[in-house]
Amino acid sequence: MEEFSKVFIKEIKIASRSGYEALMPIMYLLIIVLFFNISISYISKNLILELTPLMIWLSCLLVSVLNLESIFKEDYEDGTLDYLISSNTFHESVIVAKVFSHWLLTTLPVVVVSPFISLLLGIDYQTTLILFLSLVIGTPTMSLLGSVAAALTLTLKRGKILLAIIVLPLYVPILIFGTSAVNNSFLQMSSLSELIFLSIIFLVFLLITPTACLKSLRLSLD
Amino acid sequence: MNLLMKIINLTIQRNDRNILDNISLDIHTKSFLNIYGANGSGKTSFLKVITGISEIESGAVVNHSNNQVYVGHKYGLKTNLTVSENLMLDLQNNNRDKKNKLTDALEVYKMSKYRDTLVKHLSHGQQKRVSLMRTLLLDSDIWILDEPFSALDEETKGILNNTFVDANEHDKTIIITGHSAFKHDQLKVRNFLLKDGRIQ
Repeated sequence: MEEFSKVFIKEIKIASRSGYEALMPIMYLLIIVLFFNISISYISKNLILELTPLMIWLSCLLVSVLNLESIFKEDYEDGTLDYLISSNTFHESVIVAKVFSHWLLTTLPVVVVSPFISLLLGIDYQTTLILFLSLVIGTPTMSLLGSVAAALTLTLKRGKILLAIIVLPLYVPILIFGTSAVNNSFLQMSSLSELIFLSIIFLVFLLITPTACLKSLRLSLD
Repeated sequence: MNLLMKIINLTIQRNDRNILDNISLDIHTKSFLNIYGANGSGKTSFLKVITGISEIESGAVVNHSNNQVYVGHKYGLKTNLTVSENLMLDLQNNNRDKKNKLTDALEVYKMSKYRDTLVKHLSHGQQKRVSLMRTLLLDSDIWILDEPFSALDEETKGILNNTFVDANEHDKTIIITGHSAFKHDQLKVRNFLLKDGRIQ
């Protein structure tokens, strides 16, 4: 727990010095949503309303993929990763701290903004709430999964595209449960089972990915 | 002197070439080792394996201490944080004792006036000094330093030599790498030439 808090505090401190960078994912999300709306503006209003929450979910997923590379990249480039691994205190808790702080700083702002976009685009409160909850559960799972791919592609110069190719197919179950929870809510059906499934996926990956990520980092640093 | 680390038949292969070829070595407490050799001779690979950064492909490294500090070519510093923030976050507890230790380390390396300076505003040499300060702050049994004298001015080289003597008196084990044999009047240095993947 001490290692977790040490890494977490360090990450927050670094992020607080990086200024406007935290706003970038939000800007990116707004632009994607705007583009989606322009591209579907000619279809019927009811269909737009049905598609909008799904479109927001997909946009958050894309923003999440965009940021994955940065989980370990800076630490690798400035030597922090070597230093941490050699210090014998680099355990799974450090990985969880890094992934959690990364999610908190890059994806959570997007998740928080999403309900406002949803309400602004005329989606009802219930669907907006389910959208928010499914994103709160779904996006950390994506970060956990993505951390393994980020570790594997760490030393590659053009790793960003490969990272997306590795990770996107693995996001399919999360996307299915997330979007169907939102869709069920829009159709005034229960979304509970989808949210439970999303939670189970999150817990499973919380157990598996830190160990896999640690192993992947050692392989990459070889 | 107790056996601190035992390296048994260590072999590392890259692109069908043996970078390290069947190396065996006993490292005892309070010993000072200098692994030297030409560029690309495998010095950094050797250090990365014994520190646990790289996976062992063949052979074994038995480390009886789980308390080591490694300073590599990259300094492991966050450029958007100040010198003191970088070093304090490494320490286990942010208590008064550790703060005193930080003050002492800054004085030893003559960096006190840069305490609250962002690392990105320091020169390479100064950044290296900050990374070397970690050896003084962490109570590690083993110091593993990759080419510690590179990028340092004469004054800092003198400081580093003094810290080696002091650490040796406090039973620390020091492993460094370099391009030539290392001699020191007050230290019993074991020099090993790393050539063609073998220690000579």
